[in-house]
Amino acid sequence: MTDSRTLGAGAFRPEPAHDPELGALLRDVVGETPHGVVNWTTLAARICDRVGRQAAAPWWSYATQWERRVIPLALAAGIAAAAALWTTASASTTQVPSASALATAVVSGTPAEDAASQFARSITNAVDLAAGVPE
Amino acid sequence: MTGSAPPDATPADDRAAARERDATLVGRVRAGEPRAFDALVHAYMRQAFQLAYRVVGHREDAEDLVQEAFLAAYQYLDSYDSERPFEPWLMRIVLNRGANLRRARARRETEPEVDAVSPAPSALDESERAEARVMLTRAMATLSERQRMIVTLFDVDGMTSTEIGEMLDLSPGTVRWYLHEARRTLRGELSSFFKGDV
Repeated sequence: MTDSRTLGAGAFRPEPAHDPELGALLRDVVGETPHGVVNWTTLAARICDRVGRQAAAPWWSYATQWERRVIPLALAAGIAAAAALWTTASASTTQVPSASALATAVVSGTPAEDAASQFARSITNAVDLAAGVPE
Repeated sequence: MTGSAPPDATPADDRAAARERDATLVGRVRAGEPRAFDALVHAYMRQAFQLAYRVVGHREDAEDLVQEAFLAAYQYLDSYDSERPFEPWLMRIVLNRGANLRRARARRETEPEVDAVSPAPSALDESERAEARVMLTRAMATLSERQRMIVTLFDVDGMTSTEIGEMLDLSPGTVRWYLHEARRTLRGELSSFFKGDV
């Protein structure tokens, strides 16, 4: 489509006449603008009053305009942060058996096979816990 | 349309004077004098209402839309370029907000107000007119928003292409081109009702 500002005043001259036939049909469909029904004084007063109130509003009133969007977002962010903290804390407190635990078991006289299987079981449990696998 | 001017002033003079006045008013509002905005409200509320009514098709909705548009204009006045005319900027807000309002209230019936419709001359009898209305409604739906707006403002509201151009920030030639295209489409769809030219 042609750009809206490329046609100057010279295009489509002269000013076309109003089309009463089409105008009458259009009026039936869309109606006339009810300028006579509007109370302009009241409307102007209403608008000016609203503008005046907006102008006089304190700075924090802008926060109230956003509270319906910001509060749920803040709650969601808080829940997400709490969940992330909880997950991190659980993972960091999970005890991964160390080699020294195996050495202690051997020194204390536990049979080697038992100590090895106990060690392997404890590692599997630790990995499952960390991965969130139910016991 | 645009306030007081000498009796021999041309429309171009009127426009220049209105532009200067608007720039001054906007400057005063920006300088911390919000009451200066009231003069802009009084200057443009009728044009804003006319456009708003053509967008939403309901008087009370149109009044609400005008109010909302002026509030938005006040709120975002810092983003307005005072080198450009104020009216098209305001009308764009009316159009944008109106489109949102229309979507939000899509379920509500917005029949034109019957008492606002005045009888107009037509060669068609009542049954033909009823049929033509149905066809015209269908044909109007095929027009672009801009074509629909322009043909309505021109042939129903009796505005000139210059007035519509000022309102919509288009040159008069562009307005006449949109009008020509809209009329051609409508008359084409309703050719059986019109004798002669399309």
